[in-house]
Amino acid sequence: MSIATSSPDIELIPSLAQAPSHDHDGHVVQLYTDDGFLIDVLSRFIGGALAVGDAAVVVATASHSRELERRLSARGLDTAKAMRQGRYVTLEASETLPRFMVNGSVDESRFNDIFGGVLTQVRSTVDGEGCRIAVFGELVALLWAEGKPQEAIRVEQFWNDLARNHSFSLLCAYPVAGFSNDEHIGSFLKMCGQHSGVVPSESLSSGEERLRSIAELQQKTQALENELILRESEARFRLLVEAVQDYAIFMLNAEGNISSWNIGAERLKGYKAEEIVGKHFSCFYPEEDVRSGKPKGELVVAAKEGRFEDEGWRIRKDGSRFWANVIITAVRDGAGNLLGFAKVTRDFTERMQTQKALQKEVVERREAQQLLHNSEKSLRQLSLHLLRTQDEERRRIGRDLHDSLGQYLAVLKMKLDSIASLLVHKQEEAARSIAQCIQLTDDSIKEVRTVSYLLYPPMLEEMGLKSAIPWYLDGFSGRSGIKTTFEVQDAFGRLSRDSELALFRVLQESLANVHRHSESPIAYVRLLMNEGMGILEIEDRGKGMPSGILGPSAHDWMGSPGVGVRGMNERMRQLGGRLEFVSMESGTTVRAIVPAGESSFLTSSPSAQPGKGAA
Amino acid sequence: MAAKILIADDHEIVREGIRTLIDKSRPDWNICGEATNGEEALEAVRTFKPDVVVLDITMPKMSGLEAATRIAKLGLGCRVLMFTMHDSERLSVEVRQAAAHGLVLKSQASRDLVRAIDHLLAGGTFFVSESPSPSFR
Repeated sequence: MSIATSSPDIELIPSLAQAPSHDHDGHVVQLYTDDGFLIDVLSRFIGGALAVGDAAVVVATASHSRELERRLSARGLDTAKAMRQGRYVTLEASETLPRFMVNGSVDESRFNDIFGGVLTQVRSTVDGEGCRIAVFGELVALLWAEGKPQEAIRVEQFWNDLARNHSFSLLCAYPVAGFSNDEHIGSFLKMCGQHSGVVPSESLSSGEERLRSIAELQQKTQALENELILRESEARFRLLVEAVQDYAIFMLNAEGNISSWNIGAERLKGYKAEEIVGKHFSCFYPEEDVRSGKPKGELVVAAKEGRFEDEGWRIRKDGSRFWANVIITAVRDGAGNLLGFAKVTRDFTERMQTQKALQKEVVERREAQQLLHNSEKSLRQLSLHLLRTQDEERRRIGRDLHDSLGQYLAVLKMKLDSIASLLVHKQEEAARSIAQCIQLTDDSIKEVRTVSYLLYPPMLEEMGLKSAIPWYLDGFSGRSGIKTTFEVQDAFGRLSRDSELALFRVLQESLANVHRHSESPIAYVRLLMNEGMGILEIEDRGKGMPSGILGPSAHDWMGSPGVGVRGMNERMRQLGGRLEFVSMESGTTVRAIVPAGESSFLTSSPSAQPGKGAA
Repeated sequence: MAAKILIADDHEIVREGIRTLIDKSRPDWNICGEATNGEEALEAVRTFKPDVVVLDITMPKMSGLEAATRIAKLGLGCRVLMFTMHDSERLSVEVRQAAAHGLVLKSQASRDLVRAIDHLLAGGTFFVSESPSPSFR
């Protein structure tokens, strides 16, 4: 016997003529509206059995038992005799039921003890060939009425199991009123599934009506079955939605009033379902949003576009704010009518804060970079300032040596010369001393000149690179023993003072490197002008530059630490020029390129006279 | 008529040295004026029309070379002798280009200055015959 909800095994008994009888083993259920009708059915079922000498077991309510006996007696049946013979056994249903209930549930072994015992005993009293036993049971109806449909179905099952060992024909009865509730649908179908036959209620009188009602019952059964499946699936879905904790999922009706609420919504917003269902969803919005009509506006958009997504502040029950990601989806029926809205809300506060922190970090990093850039810039300015100050200082010292001390020495020598010419022959010794003084003065003059020129060649300012470079090369060759050549374009004129000085410093630095590192016997110096740029090239035939020369710790021509090539580079950069190195095995070429600039030395017009002069 | 000499140097002591040298060797020469920079020298040449101007190179406002060029442009027939601390072969070229007529190193003043002025007064030029090579260590 199937317990499935589908009903192929269930025989629908269409007419009273085919009312339950005990002629064959089976398990028929009679649905009834009126007790009188049930008693009619019962008296036929039980009376039919007793009349032919078969046995009967009635497990009924006291009132049903009394009514049945009265009816049987009226039919002329001697129930007392049958009882004495043991062919007729009645059990009070409400007394019997507790005997096999354990902890509110029916117990199969106790059930079997009771009814198996009764059936065995009855069987022994009617031990003839073809003797049958009719059983009527109302236990299930009692359980059903107590609101225990599951237990009722189990008892039906117990009866079916009991029928495997005992031969009897079982009739059950349920009042139709017991199926008034939708909740009973599943159980009803299960209950029907426990029976080999279902007899519709007597409220349908004519045969045609009965046939129709059976067809309807079949359809209803099918529809109930389908609905049950749907409801189960809906229930499962509802359970799923209700169980979701991280998302607030709820429904709004078309006006925006909340019609469902899940655990996620409760967790997120703090309201319990009973507190919030029926209220308008605008209570989740900050006051200013409500004033600006935002909640309603969102529904309008969702209704129009089908969907609306937003991020913003929302309010919890306790008044605290959270940053929400909200998706509102319009829900429509098959005809396209707006039923309401599904709203899914997530708490993005953390995500928003993370994003904010990230953005803040980006801003801070950018600021730090800017700061770094600025300090680099100011460092560069400082280094340029230092270079300029150094130049100015050298220039000043050079000038002082040259212009003051040098002039004094020159005049001192003049005076000594004149004293020497005044001395007469006798004063030979004095003349020798004077001659020594003159020599000393000469040496001093040369010394002062050398030092002052190295510090800042006055020629550079007065005559430009074209004169200052060969002068410097002469001195360099004399000191280092390195031969030098100098090529210059005839048309090469004056550059700006800064450019000339920068190129001159590159020359000094490069030649110092040639002298110190290259072991080159010769240096070629070229000065040319190309497309408004002054270009100075210093080429040697040495072993190439050691990498350290290009590093920051290289020393410049005066030995000042930390300047070196970097200093040259900085000078070029500041002037908008650049420094190039080509270092090969055959030697090194340094090329300094600066914009020629406005010469501050060309004095062809009175207005362009050099503004700065020596002291 | 006595030769008129103009002295232009920004150092008083140098001007004094030159005066002493000239007074002692050629007391007949007339030191007609002194200037302390290139501009003053140019103005003094216009005013005094000297036969020879002794011009320092390194002077404020206008260098001696610039002044020499301008003096030449005046067309007054003034002879220009550059008198300098600078010591370079290249300098001779610059001096000639500036249209000056002679060059005397200050360190060789006792030996060369009066001789050079003599040459210029005679219509000749004087460039350092014995230019000591730059004496760097």
